[in-house]
Amino acid sequence: MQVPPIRDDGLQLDEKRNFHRVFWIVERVAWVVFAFILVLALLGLTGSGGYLSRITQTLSTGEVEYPRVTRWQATDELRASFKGGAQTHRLSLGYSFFESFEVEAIQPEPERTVTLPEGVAMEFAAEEGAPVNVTLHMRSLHSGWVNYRLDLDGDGVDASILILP
Amino acid sequence: MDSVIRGIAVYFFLLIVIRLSGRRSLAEITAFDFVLLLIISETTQQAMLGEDFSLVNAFLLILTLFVTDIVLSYIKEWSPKTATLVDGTPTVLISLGKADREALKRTRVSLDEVMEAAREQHGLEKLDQIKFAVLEIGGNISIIPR
Repeated sequence: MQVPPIRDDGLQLDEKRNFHRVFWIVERVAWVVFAFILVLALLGLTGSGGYLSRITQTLSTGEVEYPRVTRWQATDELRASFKGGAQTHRLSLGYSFFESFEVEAIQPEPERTVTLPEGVAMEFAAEEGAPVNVTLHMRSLHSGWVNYRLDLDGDGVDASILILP
Repeated sequence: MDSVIRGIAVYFFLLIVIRLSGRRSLAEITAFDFVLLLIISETTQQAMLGEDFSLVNAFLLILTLFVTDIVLSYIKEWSPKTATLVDGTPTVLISLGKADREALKRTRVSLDEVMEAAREQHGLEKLDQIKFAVLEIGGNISIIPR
């Protein structure tokens, strides 16, 4: 056990002023970092809403919108909008998607679900070629990067989602 | 396994954030600060437990927090540098009646707060009755009168 030194002013106290000076700077840098994290969160880069939290991609067969960043065990949505003109529309998702996400609900319910070598395809019926909007409610199961293939009526994208712990 | 990792992560996250937010924030607990602490504890509880409300999970988390705290106390005992880093050291705000402007500014403590502590502890009326004022590790201000 160390006995605190006696200072010039007579107070027996180990103040370590030099350490304090460095720490006060670190403290203020940390506050800037805290503020920066909040700005990132407001922009949507930590998931759960925000301008940058979702990606929208336009394909020749429709449009797909999915989260760029989501959080572990949090619910999120993947939306697909098919262009009209066909009686059946097909949304395919790679297996890696289902390894990282649990699908809680699909609106509207698919008419048929088909297992493919590279993933799962869901077929939706459309009355008189009307456009179909599908919302897939999902919950993440693990944290990390998820890369998967997403196809809308044959035209697709390689999508990726970051799941934060 | 998951509970232990969550517990340790939350423990160190809180330790770092509270340490970096400055002792000033704990110096004077107002009614709002108290409510803020309750909100933080509620948020932390949800982050640690997740959706697992089992007794095993709760017991594991409690053990994790206690064991981490005990281990850290031993590390602090073995390594004074770690103790300084984790707990800090007291800051002298007034020395021999002279206010240390740098310390007061950096610790965000006003002379009004020093005087409040002086009135509470020793019933002092004026600033020049204070010989030493020290912002302690715990965030409280201790006063030594002339």
